[in-house]
Amino acid sequence: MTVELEKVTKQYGSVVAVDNVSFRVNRGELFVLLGPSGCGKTTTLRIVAGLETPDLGRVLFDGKDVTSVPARKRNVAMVFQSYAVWPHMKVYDNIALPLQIKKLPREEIDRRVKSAAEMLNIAHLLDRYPAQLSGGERQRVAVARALAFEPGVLLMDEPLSNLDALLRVQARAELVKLQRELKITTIYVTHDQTEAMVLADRVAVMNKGRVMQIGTPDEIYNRPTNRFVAHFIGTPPINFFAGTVEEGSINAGFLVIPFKNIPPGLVGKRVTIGIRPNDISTSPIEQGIPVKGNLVVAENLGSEFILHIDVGGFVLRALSKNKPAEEEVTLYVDKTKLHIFSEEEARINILPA
Amino acid sequence: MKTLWIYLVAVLVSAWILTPILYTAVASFADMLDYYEHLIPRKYTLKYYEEYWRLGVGDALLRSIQVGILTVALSFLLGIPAGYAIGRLRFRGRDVIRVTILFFRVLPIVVMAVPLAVLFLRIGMYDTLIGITLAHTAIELPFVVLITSSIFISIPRELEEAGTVFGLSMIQVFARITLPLAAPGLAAAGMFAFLMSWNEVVASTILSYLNRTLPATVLTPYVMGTGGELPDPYRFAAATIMIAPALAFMAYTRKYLTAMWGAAGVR
Amino acid sequence: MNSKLSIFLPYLLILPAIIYEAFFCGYPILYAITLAFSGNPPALIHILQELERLREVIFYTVLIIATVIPVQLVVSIFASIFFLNRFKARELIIYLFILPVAINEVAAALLWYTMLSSSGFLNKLLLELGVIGKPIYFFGYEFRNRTLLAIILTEIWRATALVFTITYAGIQMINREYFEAADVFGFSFWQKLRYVVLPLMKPSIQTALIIRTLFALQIVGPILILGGEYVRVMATEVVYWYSLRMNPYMASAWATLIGCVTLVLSILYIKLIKPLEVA
Repeated sequence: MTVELEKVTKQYGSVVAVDNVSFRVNRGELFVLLGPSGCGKTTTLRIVAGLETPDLGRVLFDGKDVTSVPARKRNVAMVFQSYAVWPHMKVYDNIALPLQIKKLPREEIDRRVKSAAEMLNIAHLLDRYPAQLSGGERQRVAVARALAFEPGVLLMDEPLSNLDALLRVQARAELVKLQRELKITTIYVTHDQTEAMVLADRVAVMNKGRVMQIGTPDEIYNRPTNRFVAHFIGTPPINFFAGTVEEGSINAGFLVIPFKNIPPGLVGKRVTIGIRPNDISTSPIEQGIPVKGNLVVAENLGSEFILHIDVGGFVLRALSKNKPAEEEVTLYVDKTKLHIFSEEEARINILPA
Repeated sequence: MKTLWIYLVAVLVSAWILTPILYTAVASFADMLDYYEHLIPRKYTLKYYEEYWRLGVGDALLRSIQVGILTVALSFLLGIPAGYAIGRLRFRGRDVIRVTILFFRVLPIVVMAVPLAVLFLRIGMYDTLIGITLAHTAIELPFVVLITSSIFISIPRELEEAGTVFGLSMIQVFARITLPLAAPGLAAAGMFAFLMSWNEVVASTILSYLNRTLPATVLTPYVMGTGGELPDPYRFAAATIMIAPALAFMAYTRKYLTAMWGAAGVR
Repeated sequence: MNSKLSIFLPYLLILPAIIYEAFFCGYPILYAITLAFSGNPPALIHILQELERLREVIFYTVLIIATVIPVQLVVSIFASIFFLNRFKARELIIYLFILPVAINEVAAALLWYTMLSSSGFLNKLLLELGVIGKPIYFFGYEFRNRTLLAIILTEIWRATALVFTITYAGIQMINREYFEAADVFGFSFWQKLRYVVLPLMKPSIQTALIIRTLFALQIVGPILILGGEYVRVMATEVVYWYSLRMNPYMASAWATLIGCVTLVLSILYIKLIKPLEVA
């Protein structure tokens, strides 16, 4: 099933939780709603589910307007953040109940329950009660329940956030595998950008109720269309510093970068320049602009270091495999990986010379 | 050290609660002359209980049980839907209604029971168990609504939403998810409702004459007796007769209390 | 579901209860208020004219209510805190503590009569132990101060359980992490009480006060049985005028006064104890 949101707005009192949100999810796609807490992603998901009704806008499934269709008739399945596994029923019944309501024949229900349980590795737990399960196991029950339902759309609200780090990576990989196998249209909500990058076919980055950018993980990462997206995506976060546009170059004080075809109206304006720590190297690279500075802090991540380098009143963060031997360091900024943003925080597309 | 204090308090609490009850019970079986002499009576008799039995206490006991069960049933029938609406649904005026339903009970029962008695006399419901049930329900209903609304609030909303998403209608959600989860709390509420009816003295006395419930029967000698003074042994027996079944009932259903407090607590 | 139905549904669910109460309670209330304003002079005015009696009744009522309710609230809160500790017989002791819920006010009065009468438990115990030479009298006009004590004691013994039920539920809703944070910051017991327990218990304290006050103003049993003729509160005046003086007008007037006081106090509780907005 395809899902489309057209200018959906939802307000609670004076707070606009969802502000003119539009996007389209293609059949079989894993679409991620990504953003910080309070950005409206969960509310948007609940509107798709039918648990909330939008004040403005429409929700379309396969082109049909379902905005006023109640949740139970929408053929969606949802995995809640708290899993919402019914505590008074055995695992088997948890998965089976939605199918019983659908009035499927008993053999079909049994087949689907067992098959979903197999897929999620909980077949041995079917006879237990949720209270006897661990958090991770309960999460699987929630997923199995959703999959056995064979919905047109699968909705997931931060299903991994309550799992511990190790389990989360494992569960993440399994989810991707399942989704690709079953090709269910999925909308997935998370605040974890690593999760989004790993899972998504496409991502919608949200902030304060608005969609900031929609694109593939690659597009979001390499061509963020505004400052917020550039900052939100990428670990460690992008370096930002100010610069002034001059004829043929941008001057950031410690760094002057020559640019081709700068629009004339831009000259004299202030811009924000962004460069990711992993695009700054401690050894010479092609297209690299050298910048000298002093090492302030070296954070040890185990596999690499985050170096904080003072380049003259400003501290740049760079990733490096090795900790520099001396305090004086020369960084090489990859000029092809610079992101320029206007004062209105929109991306300016100019190429370095 | 802390444990010592805890156990000390526990012992004191137990003594505080149990002494009046146990001593009265003992006194009710005691020979009166002996009772006045000694702290712990040595001679015992069933004399006063036999009196009360002759007075119809056995039937009264049954009537109290019947009225209690009927009252719980009627209170639940009227109160649970209201409690669910107040506890779970969002609507205009919810907070106002939640408080004002209590205000139906601001006048003393006496003043409410007398007009009711007049009404019942007129329609022939005076001195019937149904009549008393109707009065008891009226007395209890605001509290039943209050308690049940708290119980429904304590059920996580997401469990019901999951039901909705997966295709259950409102009634199905209520029947298969809400109600089973609310059951222990509702059992505790039922216990309270039954005890409230069991202990109701005023309306029961006013609204009945021959078909009296237990408290009314047991206190009849009180009211009819010499200028309203009930002799000591009857006091002890009366108290014990009224209390014993209630305590037994509460002992039997006490596990539901923890259910009511346990999960997420009552609001 | 039809969205029109879903708007009316809550009201439909509540309606039966409201209609039932309006008929069985509302109608008698209106009837009583009408009576209270009837008569020549109107009964309510008559009450205000008999100043001596009015003063006496108000005095006893206020004395009992203003003593019993605060004590019960404080004891319940401390008991709620106490029972947060886990110890072996906890379930049993809680059960014992709320046992009085099963006991009606008349029976409770009779129990404490057994305890405090001249041949009751207390006196016989103290006599046997040789602490006193002759019994301490609690009942009788000359001892009416002690009678008041007996009444107050009975009420505290009986009804604290009800207040406790409400406050204990309320304290259970407080997230443990607030306590743990307070511990980490080195809060003393009293600081935890003041900054964590009481603020977060406001809703249940409010409910407990409203319900307890409502009941307390209507209690007649203990006062009649222990206090007889000489301790008079508003609720006993209602009974006095109804059964002894056969005057429904005066009885209704007193009842209306009780209703007004209850309403005023309830509204006061609601305004003064504003529960915190929970995020």
